[in-house]
Amino acid sequence: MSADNESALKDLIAAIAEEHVEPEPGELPAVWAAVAEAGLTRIGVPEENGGSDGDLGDLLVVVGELARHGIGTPIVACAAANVLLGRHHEIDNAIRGVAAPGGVDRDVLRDVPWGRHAAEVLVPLRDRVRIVDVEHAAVEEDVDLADEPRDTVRPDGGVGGARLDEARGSDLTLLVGLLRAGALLGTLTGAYDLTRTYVAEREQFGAPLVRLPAVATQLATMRTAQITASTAVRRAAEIVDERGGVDAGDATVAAAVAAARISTASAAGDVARIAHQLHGAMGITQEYPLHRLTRRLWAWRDTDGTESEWSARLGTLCLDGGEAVLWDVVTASVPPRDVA
Amino acid sequence: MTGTHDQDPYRAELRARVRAFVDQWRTDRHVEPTCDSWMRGFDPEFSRALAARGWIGITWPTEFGGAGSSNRDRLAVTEELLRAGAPIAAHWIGDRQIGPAILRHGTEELRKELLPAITAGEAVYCLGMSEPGAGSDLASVTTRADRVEGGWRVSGRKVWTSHAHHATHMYLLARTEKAERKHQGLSEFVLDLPSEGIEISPIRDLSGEHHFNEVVLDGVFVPEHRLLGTAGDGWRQVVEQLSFERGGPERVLSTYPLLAELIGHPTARQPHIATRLGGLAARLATLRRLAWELAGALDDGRAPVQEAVTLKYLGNAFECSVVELAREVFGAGGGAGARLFRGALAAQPGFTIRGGAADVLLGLLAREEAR
Repeated sequence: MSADNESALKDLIAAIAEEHVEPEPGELPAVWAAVAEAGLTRIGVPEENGGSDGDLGDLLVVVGELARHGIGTPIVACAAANVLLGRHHEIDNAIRGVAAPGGVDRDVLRDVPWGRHAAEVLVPLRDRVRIVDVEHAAVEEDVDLADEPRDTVRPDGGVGGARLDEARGSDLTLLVGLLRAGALLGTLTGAYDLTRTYVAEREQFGAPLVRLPAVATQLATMRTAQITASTAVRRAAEIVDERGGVDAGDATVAAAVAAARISTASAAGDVARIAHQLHGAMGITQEYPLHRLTRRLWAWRDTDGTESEWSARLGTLCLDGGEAVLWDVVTASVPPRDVA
Repeated sequence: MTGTHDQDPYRAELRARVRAFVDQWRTDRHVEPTCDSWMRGFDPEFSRALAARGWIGITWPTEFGGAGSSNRDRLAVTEELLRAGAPIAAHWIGDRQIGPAILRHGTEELRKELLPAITAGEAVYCLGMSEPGAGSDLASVTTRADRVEGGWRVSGRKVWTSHAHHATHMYLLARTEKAERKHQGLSEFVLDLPSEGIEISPIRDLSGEHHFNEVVLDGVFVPEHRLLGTAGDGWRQVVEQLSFERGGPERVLSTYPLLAELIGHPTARQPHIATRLGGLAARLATLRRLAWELAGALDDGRAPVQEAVTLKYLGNAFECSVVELAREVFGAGGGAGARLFRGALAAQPGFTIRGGAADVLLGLLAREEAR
């Protein structure tokens, strides 16, 4: 990723955000068409398969910026699915979903984000990926706390579907996890920015709120959470990049993504709580934009695997490997060198 | 991605050498790892052995016994020592803090006089900063240094001076002028220990351990050339010193040996512990990364003060969380793990106080936020 790319992508998404109107519950925002047409869902796909320019770092910028502006879209699952499918298949602008690993039964996929809008849903199984054609499935609609679709998808004849043999389900889960971490980082950064501005402008007791030491201290706590989240995502992105992509068979990569996913989820809870506290009653209204961010923080921190599930997985990796793995693999600051 | 990538073979090898050395030392002498070893693990022989390998003052110029290495190299060394819970307290203050302060502000004469003894592992430094009336509010120090012929005469009382009873040198912050604002008129000195007029007595901590001391100075003569930097400019210099001091891995890893012990314990395999352990591992990954980015910032010539405060604040909280989790495994039992746990628990209140209390650090960050 180049700095030019990053700033161009930020400008593009800022322009999209200008046009954004919050949709009805369960509906796609109108700006999604612009997101797809700009090729933002095809970043990381090789050019010969319909991909756009850019790498995983660029994709994280896109996901993070959309989230920071409070725009909820199917970008996380769709882009992740496209990266995996796009290794060997032509990719178009169709919406693709990814089933949560914990929500897959033999005949039914539960809590599929944006399921009703998807053309196909990728189902991560341990050593392969199934593709479910949503046209041949019954969809029961529901929404999450952020009013985004969490649908139950029942494929006709069960989760047989086409098989994607060249991809492992665990790779897909990991990629979704990294992008979800990026979305959480963007959202909590947006909530932090909004809160910082609010307490600097809102006056009570004859001065801006931030002049109250307790308020400034809460804001500082929020900032430490934001620093934690951004450091974790930066580290994971760099490790994935250095190690040559999202490969669940590489413990360094799997652990770095899990650490980012856990850190951002944990920071999300802290940031949402403090953001509301510092906004007072103003932040609880539907009119004020804070809830567009906090409802997503609450929903997304446990989407595609809960914070606890990610933590249990990382904890088990440490217990299985012992202290050497904790130190050299799970918490090393930079990608360790492969021993030749 | 930014170019922070580090696959420097020298650094990887350096890390491996430190690791192998500590392992060997431990095996030869049957030494168990301890928590808080940079404060409580006092072993001059170990410090001299590290010095012989060039691992003290590693970032300093070679003319003073350093290796001219980067801060990232130093981080590789200190991380491995802390990881092992090795006894590094004897050289820690000189290596981390006062040596660099002398490099920044000392005259060439003072550097030549003091630095080689630190890199040789011979000098033991203690910190004469806090006083009974000047804790978090360090600028309130009342210890006085008055100009006399050929130097200064110092009187006052310092407390919480760790290892003063073993030390060969003491860093001292004292008032040299009565100024309108308390931040003005302070100066820094380096004293020899023992010196005439200095009396050192123990302050035992809550577990009965003796590392703190009270140091009473009664008309102690300090020669002119032991003034560090500029007279009256001590506050600016000490703030700089403290900001560098905060950003190291010892603010994260004080309880790491307990975490290592916990991971190997069969009880830790319970699901609720595995989940919490995963949360801790994620925090540790981020904190080590922050420390690494900080070291890189220093190498690039930046002074990452805010980042250092953040690292210490979050790192200390992590250290305490390790103790809380260890409680689940060792809280009721006996044996080596429980001894480690009890030591960490008794040391824990100090983590979020020394080097800037958490509340004060958060206040510093808050002031930045309110700007």
